[in-house]
Amino acid sequence: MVKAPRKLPAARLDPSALARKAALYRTLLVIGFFVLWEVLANIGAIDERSASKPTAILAAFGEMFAGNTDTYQALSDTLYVLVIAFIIAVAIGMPLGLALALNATIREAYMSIVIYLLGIPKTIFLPLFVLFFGLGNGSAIAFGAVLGFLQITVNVVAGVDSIEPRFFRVASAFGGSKWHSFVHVILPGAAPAIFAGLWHGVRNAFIGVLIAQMFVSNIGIGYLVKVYTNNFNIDSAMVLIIISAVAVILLGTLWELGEARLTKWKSTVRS
Amino acid sequence: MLPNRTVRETKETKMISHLNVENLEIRYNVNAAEPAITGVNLEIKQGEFVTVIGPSGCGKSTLLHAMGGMLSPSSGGIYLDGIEMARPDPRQAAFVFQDYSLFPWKKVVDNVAMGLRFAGEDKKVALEKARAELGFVGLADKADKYPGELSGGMQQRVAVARALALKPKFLLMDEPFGALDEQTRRSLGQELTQILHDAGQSVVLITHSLEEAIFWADRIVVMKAGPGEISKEIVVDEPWPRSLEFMTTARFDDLRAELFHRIQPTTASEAK
Repeated sequence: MVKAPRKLPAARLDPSALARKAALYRTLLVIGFFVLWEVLANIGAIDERSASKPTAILAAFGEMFAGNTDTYQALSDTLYVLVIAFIIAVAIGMPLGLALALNATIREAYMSIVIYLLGIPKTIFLPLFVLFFGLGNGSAIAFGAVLGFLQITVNVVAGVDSIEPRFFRVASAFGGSKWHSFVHVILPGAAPAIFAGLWHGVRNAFIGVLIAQMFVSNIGIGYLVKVYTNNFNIDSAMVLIIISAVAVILLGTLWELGEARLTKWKSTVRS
Repeated sequence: MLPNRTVRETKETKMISHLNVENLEIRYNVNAAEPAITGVNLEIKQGEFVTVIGPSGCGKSTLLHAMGGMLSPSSGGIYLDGIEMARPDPRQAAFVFQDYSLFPWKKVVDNVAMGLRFAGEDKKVALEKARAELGFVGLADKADKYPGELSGGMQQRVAVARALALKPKFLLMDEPFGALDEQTRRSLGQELTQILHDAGQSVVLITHSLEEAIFWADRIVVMKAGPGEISKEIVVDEPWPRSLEFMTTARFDDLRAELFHRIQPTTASEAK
């Protein structure tokens, strides 16, 4: 007897149904994690004094945002430092990436340095930042900017490299100048990689700012997390850690939406 | 069917232009043992449809790129109405490439308007002209799509529209239908070449196909390899419009046999 061919489930064919299902799975995992954490803390399997528990964190969240101006101040300080660090990272990373991608001599001379800098653990240099920029915002901005610009630079280079030579040939054949090639080929062609670079840049700048605030600053979220932890106020420290994590996730989602809107053509390109 | 269109400025309505290739030699490397092409002399009049055929590596594409100002001659020169083609000027000679090379990040209409915008045309005017040109190749309804949303045949029509939008004196087509399947290649090729011929558009078309070289040409330029040279020019005096019946005539068979024999010895020497 001939067996009828098996039908494909609709979710496999419908991307939006697949996305909804994936979101449900993700939500269940997160809820499951917090429930397990609460249960383990309540039965004493984990030490509540060092690991806290979700209900205690929730209570601390209310207290910290009800009347404690330190929390708002720390958030605004970190946001301010991050924005400045990211602007500097973009201002250095974008032109440097373009210069490395478009000029063979500059690439030959400096690309290896950028790759080495990208590979080595930057935290080891943090004390040097204090020597140059002092304790406080200066070091946090500089450290965040350095971590950010390296990511932006390498992504811009990779983005320009990924543009097929035939597009430059067409621009030239149709009378395009170098400026036309830059505006009509390089920028849009490298846009997906540039977006990825900017995202990695802002994420790394945020990491840099938090690390600097923890170790060489007396303001911001990083500093408050350190203070709360040193004072065994784990509930409050956890609130700030979770806020930081959620902020990065939300920013990443917004970034993806913005990228999808600005590089709509990408979804039409067949592999 | 493609829509009708007013005949372009042809040899009947305007002074006849001439594209002259004089003693052209091109070397990709000054130390190379032999040039890519050498001693090439060719004159193409406005309104002519010229096909160029030859074995792989004979320099067909090199010749075409040089004609469009994309390659600098090592010696000799390319002249359009007596003026040297020192750099690409798509209003004089515009390209259609085999791989279409449409910018995937631009909508179809913006791809067609690209050359006009590069030439300094106002954006609104350029887009209007681009839409008109898309209508000419039967793709008016695809103007706001991205190239990736079109079939290969449609993308090549867009590439033709992009070149025609500049109203070039000469259209340089580098194996424009080579990436298409056989059926699309034949139908699109016949449709576009007929319409280009009707419009009086001067065309230089590179092809590997003996049938295409004969069917579409007013004149066939045969090249040989090692180094690339023109070995023969053959006039195809079959009147236009041409039907597929032409391919079943004795004249067509004779021309195909002649081309076959002219290309074969070169291929054999290449194989050695």
